[in-house]
Amino acid sequence: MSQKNCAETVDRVQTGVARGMLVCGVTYLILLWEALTEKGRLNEILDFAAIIGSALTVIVTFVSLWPVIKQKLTGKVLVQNEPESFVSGAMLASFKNGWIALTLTLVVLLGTTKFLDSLALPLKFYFVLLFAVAVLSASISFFWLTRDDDLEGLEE
Amino acid sequence: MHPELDNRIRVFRAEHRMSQSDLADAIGVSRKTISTIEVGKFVPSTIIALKIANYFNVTVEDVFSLIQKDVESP
Repeated sequence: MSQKNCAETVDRVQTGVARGMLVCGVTYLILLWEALTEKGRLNEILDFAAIIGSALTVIVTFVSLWPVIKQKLTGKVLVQNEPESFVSGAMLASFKNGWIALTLTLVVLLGTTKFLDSLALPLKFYFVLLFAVAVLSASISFFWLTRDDDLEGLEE
Repeated sequence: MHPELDNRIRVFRAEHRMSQSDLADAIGVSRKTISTIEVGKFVPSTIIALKIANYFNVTVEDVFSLIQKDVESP
């Protein structure tokens, strides 16, 4: 990448953030599974996996955002705002898809309130579920939208 | 290919013997942005369209054109 072109860095930052969201979403899924299991060996393993997942989320997100953090600390412009890019557009579309998935999940939860009441699950369970749906749907949508297709490869 | 927008970026690149990365560096966007514009997956903004046209020293209409659809008259 040339020094003049920061667009590749911007794309990498956004892809890294999506990767962090994916790891975060998987971690929250593990937390959901943990909440549904009895205390015991499996529960301990899931608890440990959730801790590893949380650490990975922080590391992946920090490494991805490092060019932006460095820019803020040094005042040196490493990442300029692109007018727009395919990856930026895909990120926005992914957030929209995440919002749709979150809304649909809320509709399902609202529609099954009586049944869910009978399960007597803690309130935290539903917050974790909604957060997992939001970040997982957005990140999976991002990687789907930005996947390489054969046609692009042929054009180079 | 986008159903309404056609482009000749690949033709101009070939004439100038440039790769997608060369063009991306020249106008300050990522290679992915150029490759997705070429195959019609991404419709560029006016700014990017003008940058591409300026780089090849042609008009925007030389690079981008609307795909003409046959519309049956009533």
